[in-house]
Amino acid sequence: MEERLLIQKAQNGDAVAVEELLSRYEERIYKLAARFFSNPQDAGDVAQEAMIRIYERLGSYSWRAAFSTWIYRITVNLCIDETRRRKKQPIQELPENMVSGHAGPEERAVQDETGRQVRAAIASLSPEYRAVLVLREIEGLEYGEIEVILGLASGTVKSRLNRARDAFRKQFAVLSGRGEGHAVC
Amino acid sequence: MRCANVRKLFSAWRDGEISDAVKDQMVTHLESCPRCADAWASYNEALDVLQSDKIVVPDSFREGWRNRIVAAAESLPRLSQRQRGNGKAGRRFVNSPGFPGFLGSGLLPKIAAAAALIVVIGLSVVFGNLYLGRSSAVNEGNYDYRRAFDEGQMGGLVSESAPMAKMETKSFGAGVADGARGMASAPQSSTLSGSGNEFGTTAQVVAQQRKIIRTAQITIETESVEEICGRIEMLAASFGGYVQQSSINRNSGASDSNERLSGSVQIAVPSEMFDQVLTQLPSLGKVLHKNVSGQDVTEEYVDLEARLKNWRAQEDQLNLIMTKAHNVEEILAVQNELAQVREQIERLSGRLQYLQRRTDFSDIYFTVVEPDAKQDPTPSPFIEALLGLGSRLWDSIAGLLSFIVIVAPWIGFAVVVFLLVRSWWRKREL
Repeated sequence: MEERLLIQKAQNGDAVAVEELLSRYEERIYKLAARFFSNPQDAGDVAQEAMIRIYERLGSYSWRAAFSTWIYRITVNLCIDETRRRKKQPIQELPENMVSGHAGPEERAVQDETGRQVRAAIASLSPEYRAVLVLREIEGLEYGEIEVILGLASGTVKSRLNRARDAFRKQFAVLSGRGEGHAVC
Repeated sequence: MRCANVRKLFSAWRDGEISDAVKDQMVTHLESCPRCADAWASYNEALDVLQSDKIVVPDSFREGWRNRIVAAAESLPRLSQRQRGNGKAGRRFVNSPGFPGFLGSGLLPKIAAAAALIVVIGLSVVFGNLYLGRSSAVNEGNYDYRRAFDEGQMGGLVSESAPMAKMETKSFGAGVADGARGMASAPQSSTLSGSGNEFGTTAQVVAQQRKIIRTAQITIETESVEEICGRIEMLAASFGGYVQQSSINRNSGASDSNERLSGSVQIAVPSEMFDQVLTQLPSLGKVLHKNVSGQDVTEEYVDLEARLKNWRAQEDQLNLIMTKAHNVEEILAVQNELAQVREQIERLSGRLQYLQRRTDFSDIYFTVVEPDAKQDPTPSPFIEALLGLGSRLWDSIAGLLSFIVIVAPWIGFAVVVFLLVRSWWRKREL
């Protein structure tokens, strides 16, 4: 079914349409939340909260932005708020079942380790950096869309992305034991 | 291309947001710079790892949100009712939210913030100006007072009179008015007004009818003390007066170069010429200090005259008695009495003559000083301008500080408003 029709139906209270619409986005929303919260419990809670919020606000979606942009916006704002709110809680290690399981033991151990480092590096960034980095690197969104999602002035994403990537690279280098190593000549 | 610039462009390069020309330059740089090449490799490696990091969506989440939505729909039938009934109502709400509704533009929060900022800045400028105006006025007042005080001391005369630093710029009429304050006891003076000349002639009439001792103390600053002292003496002669005392001193300062000449001339001029002499002051030099006073002695004068008349009558009486004296004893008694009367007459007429002299002639005490060498050895215009610049600079710094103090709370307020508007802007519904 075309998304436009699906949205209209969902806005009119069609329960089947709501579930169909939301299930199209559930993976993206969960993965987005998982980048903000290394603890799967937190990630699940916030992602669920985002789903509920989207459901509750479906009626207020006004077609001014793409639906996916609208959904990202709600989710990212919620993630940023929740990150700030839970700041004081210690970051927990990810359990193994978070990592994809279709690999041999050897390969899987390496993947585990690298994935842990990636998530730890991301978790050490500010929520604003995390948001821009995830939206660009993982979701692959355009600058303009990221600006709309984050409510930034036009042209600011580029510089923020530059800083966020640099911060991530440094953190990842430190956590993966490679050290800084790249002082400007 | 420098390494730092290359590193700055990594992000744009990764996103393919740089032109081919820049890209070529960067490739060339990486070929010649192993460190940057290494950095670029690890940069992409780290981000690639980030991209490839897989996250498995747990089933608990997939079930969780479905259950919650079902629960929400059941426990909040109104919500779904509202959604079912009017998606348009919701849309209307979004299209015209309370805050920006009256303009209906997405730019509104920014405009509102800008307007608030302008209002705040405008207010603070107004307040700032008010405050600055006040403070600079105070500064000026202090300055004049201090200067006048210094000058008073320099002339050896600490006086309670108004600051004379600006005396030379005032018209003489104002100067006379100062003098008139000294003779406020003269009833006519209250009716006096108008130009200095009119006042001068009327003052002479008053001075003749009433007995007023007028004195002036004047401090003049000049380069040539001796010449000015001579001119003051000539001035006295030309107005029918005379020099009572004149002296020139050399005051040794801390060093020989600090030596300063000072002159002291006391002249007496006919009272009717007093005001005219004072008009000549500006031609003598810079008037640092001027104090004119008048003492009304009319009452004493009249009293003395009456008593003198009385004593004279008694003397005549005694003289008459003397001619009728019959013996030595009587003559001695009358003579004794007569001596006492004449002593009184001499004492009173002496006092009378003194008053007459003091009222006929006015004393003017001149103190003539050289300019303070260290303060301004005829300060060059450049130095003067520099000093002026310094004080103005200080004034403006002080003004700026007070401005900041006044504006700071408003800036804080504006920042809070800005942050609130911005957070609202970022979270508003799309």
